[in-house]
Amino acid sequence: MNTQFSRRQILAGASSVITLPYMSSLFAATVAAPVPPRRLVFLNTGFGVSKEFFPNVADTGKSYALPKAMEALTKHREHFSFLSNLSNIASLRVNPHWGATTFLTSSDPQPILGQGFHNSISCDQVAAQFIGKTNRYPSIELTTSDTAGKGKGLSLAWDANGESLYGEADPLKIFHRLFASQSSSIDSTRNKIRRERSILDATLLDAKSLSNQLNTNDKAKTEQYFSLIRKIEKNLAREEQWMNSPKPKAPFAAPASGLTGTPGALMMFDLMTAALQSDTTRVFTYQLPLASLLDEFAQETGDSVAAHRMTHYGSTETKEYQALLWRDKKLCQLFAALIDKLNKVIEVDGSTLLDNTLIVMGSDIRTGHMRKNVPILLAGGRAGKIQQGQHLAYRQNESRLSDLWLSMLHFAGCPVEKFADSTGGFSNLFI
Amino acid sequence: MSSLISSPTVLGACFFLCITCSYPVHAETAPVSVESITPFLKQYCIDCHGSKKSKGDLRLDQLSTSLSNERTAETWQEVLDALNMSEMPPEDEDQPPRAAMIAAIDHLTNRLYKAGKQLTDKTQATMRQLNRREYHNSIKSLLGVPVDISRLPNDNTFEGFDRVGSVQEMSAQLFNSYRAIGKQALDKAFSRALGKQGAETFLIQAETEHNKYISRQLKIRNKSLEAESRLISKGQENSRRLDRTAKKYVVSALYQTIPATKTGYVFVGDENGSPQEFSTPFPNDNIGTYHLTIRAALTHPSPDKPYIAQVSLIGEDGGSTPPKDIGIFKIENTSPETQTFEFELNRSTDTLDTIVIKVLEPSIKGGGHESHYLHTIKQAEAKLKTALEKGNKLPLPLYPQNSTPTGKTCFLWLDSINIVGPLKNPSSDQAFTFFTSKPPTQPEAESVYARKIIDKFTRHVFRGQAPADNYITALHQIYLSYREIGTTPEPARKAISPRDKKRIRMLTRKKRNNDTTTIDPEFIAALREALSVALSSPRFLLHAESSSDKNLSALDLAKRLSYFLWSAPPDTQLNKLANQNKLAEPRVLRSEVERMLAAPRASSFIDSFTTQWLGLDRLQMIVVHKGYKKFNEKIRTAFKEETLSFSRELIRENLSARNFIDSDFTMANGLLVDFYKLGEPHIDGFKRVAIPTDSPRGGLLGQGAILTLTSSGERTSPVLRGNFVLSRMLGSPPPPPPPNVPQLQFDGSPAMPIRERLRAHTQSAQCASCHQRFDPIGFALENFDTIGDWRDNTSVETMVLLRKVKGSRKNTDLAEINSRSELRGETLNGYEGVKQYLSSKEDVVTNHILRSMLIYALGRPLGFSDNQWVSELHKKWQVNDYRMRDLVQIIVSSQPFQSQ
Repeated sequence: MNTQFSRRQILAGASSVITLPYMSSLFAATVAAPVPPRRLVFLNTGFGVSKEFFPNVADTGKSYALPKAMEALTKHREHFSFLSNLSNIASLRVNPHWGATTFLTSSDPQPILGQGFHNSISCDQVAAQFIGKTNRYPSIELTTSDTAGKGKGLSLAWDANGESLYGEADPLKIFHRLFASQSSSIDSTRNKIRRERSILDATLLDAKSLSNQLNTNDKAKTEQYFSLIRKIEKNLAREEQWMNSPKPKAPFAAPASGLTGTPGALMMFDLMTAALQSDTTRVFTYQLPLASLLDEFAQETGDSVAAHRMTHYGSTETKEYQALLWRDKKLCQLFAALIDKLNKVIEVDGSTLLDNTLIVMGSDIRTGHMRKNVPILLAGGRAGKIQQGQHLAYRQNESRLSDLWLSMLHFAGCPVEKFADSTGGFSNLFI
Repeated sequence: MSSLISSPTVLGACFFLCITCSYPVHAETAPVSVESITPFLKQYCIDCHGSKKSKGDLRLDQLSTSLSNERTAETWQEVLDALNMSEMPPEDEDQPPRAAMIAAIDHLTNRLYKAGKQLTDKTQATMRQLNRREYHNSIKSLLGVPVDISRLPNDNTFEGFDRVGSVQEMSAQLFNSYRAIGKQALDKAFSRALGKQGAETFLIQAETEHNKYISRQLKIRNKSLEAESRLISKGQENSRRLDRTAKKYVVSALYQTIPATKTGYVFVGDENGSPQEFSTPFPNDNIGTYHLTIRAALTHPSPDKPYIAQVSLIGEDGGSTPPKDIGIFKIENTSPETQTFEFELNRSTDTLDTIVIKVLEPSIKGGGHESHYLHTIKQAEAKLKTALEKGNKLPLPLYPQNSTPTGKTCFLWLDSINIVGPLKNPSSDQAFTFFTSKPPTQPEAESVYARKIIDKFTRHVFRGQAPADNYITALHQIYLSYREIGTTPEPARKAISPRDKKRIRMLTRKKRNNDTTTIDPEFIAALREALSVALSSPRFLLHAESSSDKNLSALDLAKRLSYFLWSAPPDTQLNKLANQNKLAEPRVLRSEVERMLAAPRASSFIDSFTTQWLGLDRLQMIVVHKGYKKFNEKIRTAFKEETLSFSRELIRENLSARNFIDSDFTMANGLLVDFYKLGEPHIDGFKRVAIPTDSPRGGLLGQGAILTLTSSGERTSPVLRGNFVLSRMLGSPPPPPPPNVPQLQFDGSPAMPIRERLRAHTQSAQCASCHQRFDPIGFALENFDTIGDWRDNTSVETMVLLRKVKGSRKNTDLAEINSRSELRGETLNGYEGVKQYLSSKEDVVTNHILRSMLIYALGRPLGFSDNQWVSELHKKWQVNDYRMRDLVQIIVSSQPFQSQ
């Protein structure tokens, strides 16, 4: 492991200098010149969007007219594309209030009426298995403390067992996860790990002795204990493995605790940018805020609108509709901000971080309860020959979101031929 | 029932039958059938999906109408999807009439929903874990200290209930939270054990802060007035701003002239004469029980009623923590004969950090003897403005020197607040005793001593279950590694962070004279690390029952009973009865249930059950539009308390559950008596108040909490109200809306009457099939507005709705309320009609209450296989006239409650 990280390069970032442990067994071995790694970012909006978020389906190609909600993206049009008419065909029947649960899994978590809820692996976790192996964190899951519009799950990410991965909503906690703290030393980390292990060992003893006297049904409970112990143990092992490689220094001051709404999202983007730049991770998922954005709308206009009511706006005269349009514009402003941040970071080969990162923003819901032809924005990825700046319209009600996920996995270099119900991916995304 | 509808000839008739049977009281265990869809299929589907053609490989003539397995149900779901999305029948084929389409969708939707539940029938109990409430109470009872659980995530729920094992989850994140809170609990328990947790006394003199504030305000206003005066001289006067500043200045200056302000805080009202609040930060950071003493009096004799004030605890964090009312007090004496009011206050979270005292009555606004005060302000204001316009120098002598311009006006005067606490918790007869003797100083002896504590503590918090030997050894090893003896080569001292050291020093310092124990702080710290592991171990956090056969052991029964009725571990008496093996004797059990229900701790059960059954939490989330002038946070709190204490009254007085449908009383305080117009308001807090014969109230649906939580905060929602009746009272929730049905478009004014607006629901068959089952119930409740106030027309609502549209403030015609509606052939005439409708279905309502309480009591879902014994219990309860305390007894004495 150490040899892999011995070569380090100093990169001048936009606002600061970050030590980048440049490494990638995938690329370093095959090419002479340093090639930056590929990264993936997935953003979800929760509930669906207004009709002003969609370009006219007939108006495709490079010169399509940007819809009203996308004004903030006018300057960025060469950097992103709009993908019309994609649907998660397998999960059309899922609860129409769940905008995120099956977004990245493209599967039906209740495939047979009468069976309990069981999700499958999400595409970010497939990516993490391949491109995240050599990073301190194979993937990082971000979420919001707002509850509306998401549906089941602690984040967008689901592991190979179909279990939801914990998402962190507090930017401060992510800050501490990513960057070195002054007080931590290798000695104290080693001590901490040892102590944590002894606590897990003791807990395991109680769980085991209890489990022995239980019937199969009750064993489900002790099984949860075994599983959480394994999870914590795995994290400890990883921490131990990385103990000797110091975390990067923080390029900016720690944010306030519990930041939400627009400032929260912008801070998450700063953290993402720094983590991708320092190659701390290559895969991010982020559940964007919703209710806290509507709080901002309420402060601005004096109208308070609940998230669910917003999506059932009725006519365009209502304040619900105004709130939804406002939120959609806000989403585009945030998306533009992320593009700007990634575009400012110059990589080892002179390309930008944006060129090497493929970002998607969307939802599993179009508008109201409609789960077909959902909104999808795709940005970045030029290094992987992703063609941006166009409006691509696929076959209405038929084209699969899983094919986009497969194409994104291919961009990242994952050797997979199929994801969920995909049918080979979209070749027209690439030049 | 299936034989009844197996050969229907008329579609309409058959669906009518289904609907009348769709609230099964004594439901059968046979598979759900969709037989009655057959005529519809024959007419519109079989031509293409039958023996002649079988398009899409689908033969509906061969598809079983009995939803006995998942595959069949799945295929029927596809049929429903096709109907919902208007994909079938194809456009060029014969289209069914609307009514038939509605009936078909309705039938399939509801039958499949039911079949889904039947096929997931998992009735076997999964071991429960402590929910938040039980965790808090267990720590409090077993360690004798309260802990702050506000950081624990909300419990997962099944049909709203938080005690169901199969949906509860234990995650790495939760495990870490329990570790952190467990350590805090131990810190407190140690400090209590070492006698260091002394109650502190704080005396808040009410005038101190406020008088400083008034002086500062006067200085600031003085500066502003000078600035205004300069602007006036330049001819740039802003009269609105000037008025505002002058008024504030005048009010502050007048405040200083009142003699009583030298020795206390005087509630003069704000510059408009509205009542004013006194607030001060809570002086102690700790949570726990406090004793509060308020000293107050009136400045002058009150010409009419006595003053009534309320003291509460609020959070300064933007209202995210609901305020906690401490008490209401009545002030009659005139200074200097000060009155003293004492309150016990339980501060459950440190986010509640501000004490607020508020005058409830009289409202200062509105003339009477207060008008003299307002008049004085007006005069001084005029005087000040004239002086400013003349360019006179500031400050002005606004009021004559050493005079009292307010004269003998009566004000409420607050002298002081005295706070003592946190007090030791008196109710913890189970609290663990850590140190019965001084720990030995010799290392090996100390280690043995520590192991004994670890062993004893673990047995104690595991509630009678024996820990494994190797587990105790592991905890002991953790203790040793921190104690720096032998096992850990690393310097263990380093393991204790500087912050921990400081905290431990604090704990062991400041010893009282009568306490001669000196215990090494590092010994305590090492012990804490070991013991905290027990507080996040399975045997503490899970409700493991150690009974070997089907029948519960006496000890397990005691625990089940105690966590059911108290959300806490058994007390000494229960444990004693269990150890003597007497608890299962019917007479003993019966009297124990009576004893437990009579204890204050029983409200933990009654309030949690009522809140979860009715979904009361939603009340807190409704943002009521400010156009509803009668609504405020006091009313919101009172609404909730009304519904909770109504439920408590039914259980404590053993009254019939029929009172939930209709009652001749409610529980109300003065505020609610006034709001509901039930007679002369009283001030004794919540008590039973008779409902006058001409009042429309009575029953749950006449209560403000239910009516408000089923509205949007701006307007009523017949959809939510109807849905509430179906879900919470009849136990037959409508299925979730189908996905991929386009949303309805409304044209016209946002103030369009709700009934007209919701007419759209009847236009599409997909919507109508479900909405026709509950919208009409909501229409019949339309005489209650958004906040549950009685109305004859929509004037207030229309005003609220129009206010949101720019430039549209024109007064539209008032819409008279029409509260007559048709519910599938039955006429509902207003709320009285709804009461009659529900009374005619009282067996369904009571059955739902029974099932709900069973889910809460057993901590598991009820399945179709439970129907037999549940209906037997229901019959038994019916004999007891559906009395509520009898219900608890019936449940406790039932076989499922007493077996594994």
